[in-house]
Amino acid sequence: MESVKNIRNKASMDRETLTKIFSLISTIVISVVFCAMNPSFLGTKNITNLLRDMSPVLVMACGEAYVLMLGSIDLSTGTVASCAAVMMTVLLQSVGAWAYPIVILYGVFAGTMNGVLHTKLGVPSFIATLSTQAIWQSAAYLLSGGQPLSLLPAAWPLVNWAKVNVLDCIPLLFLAALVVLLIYSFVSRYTGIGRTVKSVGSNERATWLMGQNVHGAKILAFMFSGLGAAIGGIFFAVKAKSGIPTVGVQYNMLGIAAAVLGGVQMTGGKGSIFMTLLGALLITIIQNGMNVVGVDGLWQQIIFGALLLAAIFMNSDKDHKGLIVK
Amino acid sequence: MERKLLMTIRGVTKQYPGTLALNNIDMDVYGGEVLGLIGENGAGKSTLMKIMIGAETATSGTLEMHGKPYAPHTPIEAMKLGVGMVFQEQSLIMNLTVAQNIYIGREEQYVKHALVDTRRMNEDAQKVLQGLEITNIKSGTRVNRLDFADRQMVEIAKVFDSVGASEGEGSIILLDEPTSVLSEKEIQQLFRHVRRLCTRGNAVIFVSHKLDEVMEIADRICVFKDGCKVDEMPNENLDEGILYEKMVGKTASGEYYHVARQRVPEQDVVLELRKLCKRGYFADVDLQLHKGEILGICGVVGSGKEDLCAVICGDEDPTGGEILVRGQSQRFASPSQARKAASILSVPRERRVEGIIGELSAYENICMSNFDGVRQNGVISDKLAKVQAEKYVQELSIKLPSVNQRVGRLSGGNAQKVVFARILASGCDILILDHPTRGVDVGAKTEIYSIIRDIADQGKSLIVLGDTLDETIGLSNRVAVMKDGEITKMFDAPPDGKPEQVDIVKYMM
Repeated sequence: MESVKNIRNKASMDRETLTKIFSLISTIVISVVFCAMNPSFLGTKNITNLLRDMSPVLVMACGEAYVLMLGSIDLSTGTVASCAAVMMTVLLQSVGAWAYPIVILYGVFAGTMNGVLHTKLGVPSFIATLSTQAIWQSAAYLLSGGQPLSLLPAAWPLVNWAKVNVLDCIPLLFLAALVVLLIYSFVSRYTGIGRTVKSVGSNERATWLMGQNVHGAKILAFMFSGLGAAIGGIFFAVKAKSGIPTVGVQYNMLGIAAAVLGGVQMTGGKGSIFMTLLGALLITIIQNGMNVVGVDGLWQQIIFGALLLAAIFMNSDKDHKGLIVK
Repeated sequence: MERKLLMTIRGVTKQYPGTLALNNIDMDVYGGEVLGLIGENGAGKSTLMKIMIGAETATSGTLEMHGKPYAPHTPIEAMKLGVGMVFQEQSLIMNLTVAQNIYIGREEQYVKHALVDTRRMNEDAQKVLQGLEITNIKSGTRVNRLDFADRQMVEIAKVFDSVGASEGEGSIILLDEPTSVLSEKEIQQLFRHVRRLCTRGNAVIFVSHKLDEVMEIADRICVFKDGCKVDEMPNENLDEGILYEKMVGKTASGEYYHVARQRVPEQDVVLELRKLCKRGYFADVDLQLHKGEILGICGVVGSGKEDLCAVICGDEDPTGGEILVRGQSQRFASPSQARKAASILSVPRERRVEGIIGELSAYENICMSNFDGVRQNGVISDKLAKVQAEKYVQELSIKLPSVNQRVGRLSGGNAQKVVFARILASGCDILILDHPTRGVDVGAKTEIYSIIRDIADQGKSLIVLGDTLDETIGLSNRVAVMKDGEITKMFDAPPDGKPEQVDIVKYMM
């Protein structure tokens, strides 16, 4: 007779593997379904589209994944992205290519601010980022005058790279997102501070007593989240040649969902940044596919929500230990 | 006096895949007695207790309680049948009051008009506490306001009351390592409660690593080894040596603490405290730690020794005074700064929550205090980390299937050795060991003592807060005694002239 404990261990191991392959399997299954319903889903043209749509989700998700890894949450990525998109549109017309580094610095600043509020002032991340989320939303409205801004044709040469496809089907935009993902993933796996982020999520007290820089790691995670959001905002702006002050809002939750689908646990300490790629892919496929096969727009969110629930259920901590999001 | 048989255990076997945790155990528990259970970690005593409280089921064998078959499926069921357990790791809910904790799951009796009558519950809880002569705890206090020792007393009160509900027939209370956080005075108090319970026809099963305590309280002692009950004897004419021999199957040498390996420390002072204060905890502490020295600090819970160590390792801030490391005045805002700037690192007391990251593998844990040691071309290499871990697994003879094993799944002794591996890998040379052998079985203890000697041999300096007074004296070159936040006495403890416990206790109380 097998012991209860061991059966549990086995079950939890199976669940871990399941979680890992869940995104992959569902990606394949859903792709096959969509393809059967409309073969043009896997056509070159649609794949290009899909990868382009996926780029902002991916950069925002891998930033968010850092914060989730801590066991915290960042609710401000959406409005940081919106604000970045508006800033981008305004700055491209006034300072030209300098807009890129300036907006990137803005992302670093916005993220670091969240991190400092959370660590130094001891504000729970949920509240701190909820507050800054409101601040950046207003800033986006003020900058744009409350309306969508279009990029004037004079500045188009600076954003035309977003239209370039490598090998005729892979958008340069997606490659840029992939570079961000690889850098984030590298930092998480191969640097001390990156590893500290993960161990803080598992056991903050022990990490502190082990002599690791806990505050630094937390600030880094929030900084990366802000940076990812700002890059996402840049992508929105160059893709659409416009700055819409609400463009990023729904992407906040999509980013969280993508990270969780990629296996990052909301209680922290588990998962990998790189797997966010799969989560972002799955989310984009569902969204894109539903359009391709012509799912009624009013039904889309119901299907989307149900799929998300299933994924998060697979991923949740069923041992009922440490369920609270910090 | 005729003893009433409460529980009989016959042929209980527990088979885990790969290991036989319990092998054909027969045991009787009589009303009115304290039964001591001793054995190394993994000897099977925890498994037996888990079966007794319904947290595990036996593979084969039977249990009877009051002559009726007894097979509870949950601890709550067991409690209703009169068997309760005080857990080693506390199970109180921190943000509830003492009374709410005592009556948790049993609130129905206080429900009036669909609401809980808090006042009546508090009054009853106070009576329960008074019944145990616990007068310093108010039943309306939230548990997180109490210190660790008080929480333990609440825990004990809770179980005493829960099983007492079925009193008259005789209940069984299991105490698993109940004294590890209690001061000497509280231990004596606990022992009084235990004896009083027994005179009412209840039985207490007392499990502890501290053989002297078991010998003091138990009427009968059962020794477990490798899943078998190797001996059962009345507590008469026993000494620690005999028990130790039965537990580990070899004689306990006087060399328990490897005293012969104690070395004379060098003259260089690596750490000096000058008038160090933390308001409300300790004041004006002057202390010098030499290179290669093991300095023990003794004191009761609340004497300030823990807080002193927390300040030295950067976990807490001092309110005054100076810390000099190798002659230079230093201040650290975090353990991270203490480690990097002064090469100070601690082995924390609460291993599971402070010393290890249970989710991570052994090799990841071992490199956590020094990533520089496992870098290749500037980036952290898992390969190097594994090689490093393999080295320490060999050196410290850590028992694990592979270095990829999650540390959370290791036994106390092995998890503690992983902590020591991490400390060694950190390269730090001032080490604060806060209860380095807490919850570690006897066999692993001597190995850890040997590791501590090795560390001193490397010219590193250690401050040790021992789990027992004996341990502190046995290990140390010098022993500082703290009382009410001050150092009251400094003893020299050379190998041939260790101070007597009684002398030290005089300065502690």
